[in-house]
Amino acid sequence: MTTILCVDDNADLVELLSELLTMMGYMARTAPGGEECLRMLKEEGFHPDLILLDIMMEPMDGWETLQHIRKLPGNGDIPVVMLTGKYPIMSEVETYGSMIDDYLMKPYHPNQIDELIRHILSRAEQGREVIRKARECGFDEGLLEEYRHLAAEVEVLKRFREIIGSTEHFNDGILVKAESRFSVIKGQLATAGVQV
Amino acid sequence: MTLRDTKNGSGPDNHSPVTILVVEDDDAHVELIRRGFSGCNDTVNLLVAMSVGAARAEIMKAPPDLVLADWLLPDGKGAELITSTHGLPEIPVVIMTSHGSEQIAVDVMKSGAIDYVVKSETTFAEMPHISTRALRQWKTMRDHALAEQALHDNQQELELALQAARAGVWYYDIQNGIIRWSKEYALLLGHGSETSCPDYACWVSCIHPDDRDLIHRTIPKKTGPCERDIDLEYRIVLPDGNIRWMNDRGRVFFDPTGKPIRVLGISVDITSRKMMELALQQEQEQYKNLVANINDVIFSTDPHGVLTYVSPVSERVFGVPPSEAIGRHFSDFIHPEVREEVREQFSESLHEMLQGFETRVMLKSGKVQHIRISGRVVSNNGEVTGVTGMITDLTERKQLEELKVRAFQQIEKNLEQLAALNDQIRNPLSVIVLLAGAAGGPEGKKIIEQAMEIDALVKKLDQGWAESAKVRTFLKKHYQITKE
Repeated sequence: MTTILCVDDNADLVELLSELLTMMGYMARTAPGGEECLRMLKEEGFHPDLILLDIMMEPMDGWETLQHIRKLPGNGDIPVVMLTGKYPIMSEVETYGSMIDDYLMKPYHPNQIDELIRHILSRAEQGREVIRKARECGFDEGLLEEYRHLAAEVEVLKRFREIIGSTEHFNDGILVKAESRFSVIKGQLATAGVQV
Repeated sequence: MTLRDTKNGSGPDNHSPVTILVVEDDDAHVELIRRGFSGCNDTVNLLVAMSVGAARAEIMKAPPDLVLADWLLPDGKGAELITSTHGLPEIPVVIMTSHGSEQIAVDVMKSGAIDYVVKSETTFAEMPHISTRALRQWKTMRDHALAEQALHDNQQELELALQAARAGVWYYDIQNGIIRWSKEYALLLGHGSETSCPDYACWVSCIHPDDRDLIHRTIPKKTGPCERDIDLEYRIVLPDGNIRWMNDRGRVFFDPTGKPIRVLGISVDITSRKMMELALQQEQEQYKNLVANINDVIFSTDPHGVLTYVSPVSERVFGVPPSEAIGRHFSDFIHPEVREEVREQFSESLHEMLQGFETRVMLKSGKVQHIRISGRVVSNNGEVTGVTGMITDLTERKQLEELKVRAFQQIEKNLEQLAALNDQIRNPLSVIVLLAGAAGGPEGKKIIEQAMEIDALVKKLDQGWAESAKVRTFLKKHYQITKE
């Protein structure tokens, strides 16, 4: 069963979200903040399939929690979706754009969250499949790691552009760079007969 | 007095015999003259010539000390032997005549002879005495002429010196109110070459009205006490209206009862010097004003750091007037916490340029002021004589910086609060939307629509926040504000 960890300091919201996810057929667990989330991962050895992470939390906010998660051995590749009421700014996009799997603004509809989870999991699954085949073809592990990151990053950057594009100038440069590198890798894989 | 004593000049020659040339064509008379000098053989060397021509030849050979010449000679008159330079006969000549007459006496004296005698046995016997008298008279005349010449030369030298020094001399007869001055002083006064003014009042009228009182106070009166020496600086107004500065130094002379009787003064034109002094004074005044009016403190210290000068505004920085600051070590004013460090910095800086550094001073009241010290080491022939520099009061700047940082911190805080507020609004909205979404149906749909309208309003706040965040980034970048 797919397990999802919901991290939010708003008790009502995190409880409700957990109930909804359970109703949707996921196994949901909650953490009231970044510290508890890290404790569960480190001490309990809990390895969820996805983490839904709020940003505005005290004392450890979502961004800091994310950085710790990415450094945890064995947990560095858990998909993390930022689920927040905080409007992103360009500097955050530049710093964290390559470290997350999606960014969803509150308030969101139950269907939206269901679709998002399915999409993230399916993308992760597809990615794993591509990587397996590519590995068989003898591709370099570093390149495959890069492919996995870029698959998420390109979508995340597009999401950010969608959210903040109307307010401030979105630096398209980083998206163009990520997309072109992703195309190059996909081209290399396709040439070798790996379906992407 | 002997004939030898009357000989011209002085020195070893004084002891040689007196040479007397007798110019006489009558042998008998010559003989009688010889007899007259018979008692003076060791002091008189008597030569004889029989004519004017022979006498000239003798004179050319060696000029005698005295010539005794007959009035009438075969080839001319004895007076023809008289030659003179600048009115002074080169050799004294005594004329002898056989027949005395008033006309001959007048002619002889006019010709420049020093004496005139009528030949007789008595006269011949008296010749040594006549010669002595003539030589003495000639010596007196000669000394007098030389003294006159020397006086004339001295006067010319004095005039030259006065002209070169642009100076003049004056004399004031106190008791009679008469004033006289040299032509140089008259020229300085602009009076042409008039060497006297009718009276003291006339002289005072040439002086600048503002300086007349000084003159009245300094120049002695007929009675009353006065100084022996006078030293005055005053202005005169020239006829063309121009001003000339004078420096007069004088000496007052008193009669035996102590009454001042006259003043003798020398007056020097000091206009050029005075103009330079005035220009320098103006320049100093401007410099003083400049130093007094700039907000930074100008200072200088000796090589040990003892203040030797501080500009008037130093009171604002040190809290004491310059008179109290000068003579103290500059570090006495530095905040005790950093005093030692600043002292060390000062000692090190004596080997090079004093690099500007910021520090603190502590006033008597305990108030702390921030300052910046910068300066330059002053040396003379390689030896450090002190430091001169500038102290800038940074208190106001520091306060502004603090205000800037505080304002920035407030902006940061407001931004964080706004972001948190928007996030907090969205939490209950999320709960509402999730519940309504789960409930479904038209009511749920309606609730979600309302919630999304609220979210649209919050989004506008988000956009404002994003704009403010950009301003914050700009401020940070361009005003070097660091959040403390």
